[in-house]
Amino acid sequence: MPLDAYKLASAYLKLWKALDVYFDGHQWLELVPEDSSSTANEINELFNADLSFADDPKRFRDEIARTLLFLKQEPKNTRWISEAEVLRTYFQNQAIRFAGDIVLTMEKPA
Amino acid sequence: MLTLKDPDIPFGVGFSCQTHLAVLVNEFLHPGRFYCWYATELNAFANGDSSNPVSLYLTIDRAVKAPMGGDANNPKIKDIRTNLMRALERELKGRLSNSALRQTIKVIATADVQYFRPQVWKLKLSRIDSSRVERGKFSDEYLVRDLADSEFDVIVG
Repeated sequence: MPLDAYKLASAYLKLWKALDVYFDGHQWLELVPEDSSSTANEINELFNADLSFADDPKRFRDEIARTLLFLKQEPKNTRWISEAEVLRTYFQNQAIRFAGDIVLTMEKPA
Repeated sequence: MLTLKDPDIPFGVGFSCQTHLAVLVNEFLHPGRFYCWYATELNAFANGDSSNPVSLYLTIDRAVKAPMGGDANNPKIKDIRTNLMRALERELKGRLSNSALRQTIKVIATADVQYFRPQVWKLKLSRIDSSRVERGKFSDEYLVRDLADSEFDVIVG
């Protein structure tokens, strides 16, 4: 299956938000309520989903597995936050990048 | 002789910082009803910068007014952009056609930084029943999930 930029963007948004909910002030920028248990459930579902839409499904599943392990770590103290920041920023950049690459049906791929 | 009266302490108002793009998306998702966090002080210092209306305003305003048409890589701009994409994805999946949803997400992903220009809202708390207000984690942080147009004024932006 060819890479699906929309599905990848959607999945990276889930990974990003699962970490973002632990950062102070995240809620001020939200338009819908988010909570850590439902975002963690989304990551579990993503891990068990068909990931053939990704450019490298194995690597992508490894990223999801790493996130699940990270979410299970306690306590989520300042050290956890500083480590989570790196992963969160990576997921955010990936989400923006793939969303920008979405090919609309009216467009012809480059 | 000069005598000083008690200073006017704002009572019954709240302050929130929004962006032009968030207002458009909110209006698209929940017409006439805004999901809105606010503080009772414009400079809610005790909340920290991320939950302080004036700090948010200054951070976003600087990014929008940065040279060369704005700073799309500013962390706050990226946070707003991804939150809007996430809200649209969550709320519209199954409600919009697949192609319309893809187009909507792409529009936000590629929106020019100028669409992120900030606004400061002044909430008229006397019009909002306390049963609709939820407390946040910080001492001056509150949420109204269904703020109506008539319950706030845009005072900056």
